[in-house]
Amino acid sequence: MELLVNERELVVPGTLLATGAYKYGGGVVKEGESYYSTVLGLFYFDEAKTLVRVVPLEGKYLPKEGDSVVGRIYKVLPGKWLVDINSAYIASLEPKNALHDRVEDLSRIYDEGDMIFAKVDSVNEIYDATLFTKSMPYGKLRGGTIVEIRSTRVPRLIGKKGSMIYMIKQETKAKILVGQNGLVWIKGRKEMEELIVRVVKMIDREAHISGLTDKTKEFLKTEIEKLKITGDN
Amino acid sequence: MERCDGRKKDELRSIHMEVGVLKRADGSAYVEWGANKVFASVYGPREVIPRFLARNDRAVLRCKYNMTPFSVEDRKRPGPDRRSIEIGKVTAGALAPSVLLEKFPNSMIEVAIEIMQADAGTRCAGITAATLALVDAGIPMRDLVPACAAGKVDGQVVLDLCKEEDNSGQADLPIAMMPRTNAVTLLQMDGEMTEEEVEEAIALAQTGCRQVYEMQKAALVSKYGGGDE
Repeated sequence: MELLVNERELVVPGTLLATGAYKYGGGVVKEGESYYSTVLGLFYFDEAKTLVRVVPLEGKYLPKEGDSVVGRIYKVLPGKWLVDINSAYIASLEPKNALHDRVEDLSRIYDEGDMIFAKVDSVNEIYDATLFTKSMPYGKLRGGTIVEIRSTRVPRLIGKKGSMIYMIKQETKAKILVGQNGLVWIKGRKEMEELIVRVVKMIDREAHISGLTDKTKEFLKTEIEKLKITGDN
Repeated sequence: MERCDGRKKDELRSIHMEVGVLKRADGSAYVEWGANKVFASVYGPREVIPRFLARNDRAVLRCKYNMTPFSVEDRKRPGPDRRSIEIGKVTAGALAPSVLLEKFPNSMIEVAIEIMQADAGTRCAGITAATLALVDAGIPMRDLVPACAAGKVDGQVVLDLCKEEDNSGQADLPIAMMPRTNAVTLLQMDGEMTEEEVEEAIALAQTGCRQVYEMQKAALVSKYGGGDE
């Protein structure tokens, strides 16, 4: 039983992480008694120090049951919608998971190109996902701005128990919906939207740096001050 | 023996690697290997087109190798030819054992290697760059896949032939491998060598691969400013 890298150390594919008997999670392969990283990411050793895993820094979103995602209606079929959820796989949304009443023409509810906020209802082994939009806050996204970040950086944008996103909402008074798939919907005053886009992109870029929440807060405060000054003129 | 560019028999050309250079690709890398200049980009996993190639238990890995018309001294006629189709195929074969394709059923991973300037050993530079681009795209891999060639020039086995040596030499033997398990994923040869010389060339090319492997690791880590913060 031996750990060969430190907690939160950056590892590349093929790095020997540990030898011995451990549980292993995402981003790790076991060969014999050795555990190797399969992705570029940060090494974590948790769950009462029995689980080795690597949290990737890059990679496409894979749908997971219970996730909230922002998607674009890709095609309207006679009995369902196909939704692009910014993943390797197309998800589907059935009327029974979207509507309370029967509707003849589905495109009157969500048409091609509409953006929706949805919950991933179920996913099977080959990543065919079904979505759910029947209750709040799920449904069509009207207006606002959408910004794309890497889905692997979404946990950083949300922060521990939502600390980061709560702080951004508090500071800017804008509506923000974060999809686990890396699409973020922002609605507020125009200059505020632009500011949030910049902040979200900064978090995407600097996700692997610690103390980011405080840095973001500072940045937001000074930028909002600047906006107020220019607003007065 | 003096080599044409003054290198020792087991010395690589100077190599420079950069990760994440193309904005629109899911993953990308740029490699300068002597006078070779190579871009690799990765798209996917994404929907399989054409649909009939899809496998419902794993992803399909497709590689395209292309030489730009200005990459060589005489203009190369643009478009795929016999040679580039072959190199695309062997590149896919060299990378596939490392990529965890079974993680992405019913999808396709596309690798495009673009040779901007060629100076012998482009397939090795291409595979080296493609590996970095795959990692940059976040695609899980068992190990990095470095590649390097050895060959026979003036009756002597040497590492990493340059253009002049390749033209005047007797043999060229490119290898790609997964250094962690010592698994060779690509081995080609043209020219003539005795059995002992082949053994020697393989061993020499593997030492080259290991050096390239360390450079690949350093290039990946340096994208995140040394990481660990």
